[in-house]
Amino acid sequence: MSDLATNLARAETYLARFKETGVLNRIGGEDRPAASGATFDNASPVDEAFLCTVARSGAEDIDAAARAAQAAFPAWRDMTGVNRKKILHKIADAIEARAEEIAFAECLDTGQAIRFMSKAALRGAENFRFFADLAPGARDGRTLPSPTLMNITTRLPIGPVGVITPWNTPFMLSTWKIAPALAAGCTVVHKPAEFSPITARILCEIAEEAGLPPGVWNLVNGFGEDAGKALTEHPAIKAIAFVGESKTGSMIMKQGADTLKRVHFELGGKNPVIVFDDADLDRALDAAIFMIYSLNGERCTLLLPPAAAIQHRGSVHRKADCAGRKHPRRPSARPGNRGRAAHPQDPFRQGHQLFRHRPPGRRHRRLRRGTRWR
Amino acid sequence: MRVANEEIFGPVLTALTFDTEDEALEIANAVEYGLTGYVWTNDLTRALRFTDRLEAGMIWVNSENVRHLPTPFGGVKASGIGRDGGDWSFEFYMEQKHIGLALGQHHIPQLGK
Repeated sequence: MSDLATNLARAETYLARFKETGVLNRIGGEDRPAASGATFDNASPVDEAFLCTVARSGAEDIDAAARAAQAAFPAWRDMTGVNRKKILHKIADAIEARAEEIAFAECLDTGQAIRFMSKAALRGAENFRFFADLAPGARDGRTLPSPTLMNITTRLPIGPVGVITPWNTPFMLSTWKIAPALAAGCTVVHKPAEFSPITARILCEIAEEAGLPPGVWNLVNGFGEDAGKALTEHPAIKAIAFVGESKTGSMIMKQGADTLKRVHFELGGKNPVIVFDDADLDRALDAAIFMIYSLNGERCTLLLPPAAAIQHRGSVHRKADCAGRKHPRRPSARPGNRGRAAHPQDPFRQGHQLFRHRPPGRRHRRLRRGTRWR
Repeated sequence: MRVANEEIFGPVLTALTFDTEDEALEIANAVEYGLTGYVWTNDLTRALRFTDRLEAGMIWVNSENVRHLPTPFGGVKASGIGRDGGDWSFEFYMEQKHIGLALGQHHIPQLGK
């Protein structure tokens, strides 16, 4: 079998159980379908093939998860930092042990290429280890003596928090947001993006199997307008960490206003690359090409897309032509193939946004390699 | 220019030209977002001058984005609120608490006296 066929066969084995049971919520250490019984279908952006059903949760499910997180909070907060550190390292060990499963599930669920997703699990484990080591010192404070008082400061975890993650690199970003929350002593209700929910489910299972007490990490699936909204409005949830679109961030802020939510937003970007004529042009070009094309531009956060290259006049035409030539030629290649650097652009998630940007005056032509705007 | 200002989240790179440093800065800062910026130059003082004025939460000079977990991650303007990474993550997930302990019998004002 070719690499691709072997990889696809393995991916199928890993995902078989989700075909049977669907992606369920995890609340207080228990698997639960949505209280309403509703589900939605999750299809792979690679070929639109059906992957699994997913619990379509609403306010009732979020309430159950928030209560579970609230009930688990005092014991988790009061556990020593050293013990929290041990559990977080065990989670990292278990992530590494299941790296292949995570990589394949991520590929089919997001459409990203295996050569980039094969590192997703390792980077996720690294996030857990990094914050695990910081856990024992999380409460450290300062001493600010005055003539009459010994003033000391300390930090305490804010309480149960909501974490909402996007569809582009869901595994890595879930670890990036959740590991520090757990290290700090917070309990979590996680609502992953509806488009790519599988690895978030695997991650939550890993954490509990590694010894995380039930209710410390709760997973609720569903859409932003029902599950997401209920999470941002729930009084037991003290803060919302969100990664996604700027417009959604603004909505979350409004929804969280009544309960005075603290918010942390990682939103959109349009990142300039400014290249001066004294720079090493080849290195600048390689860097820009890698960042804009390696995830087909679906990066807003960890490897940021340089969306606008601004260059000193003179070097520009040579570079623009090079950029056109360097763009991977098989953008619709299947993501399980290690040799492919680009993955299919998801027509539903991104296509509308991509094709809005056609060259002015050429309305019937789609964007293609090396297109020049004038 | 819309294509140079809106987030596309797809494989589209817009190439624009500039003649002066001020012009480059004006184009770069005109974007409503402010997540990252990348500056390529071998002139050290220009790199310091330019990064100081470029509106972005994270800037890399002569490098692609290379994450180092203890450094602050996050954007300005429409790119976000708050920072992750190292102790910044704890600043978000934790509450500061101050405790003042009297060192002795300092004078406590008595109301009306």
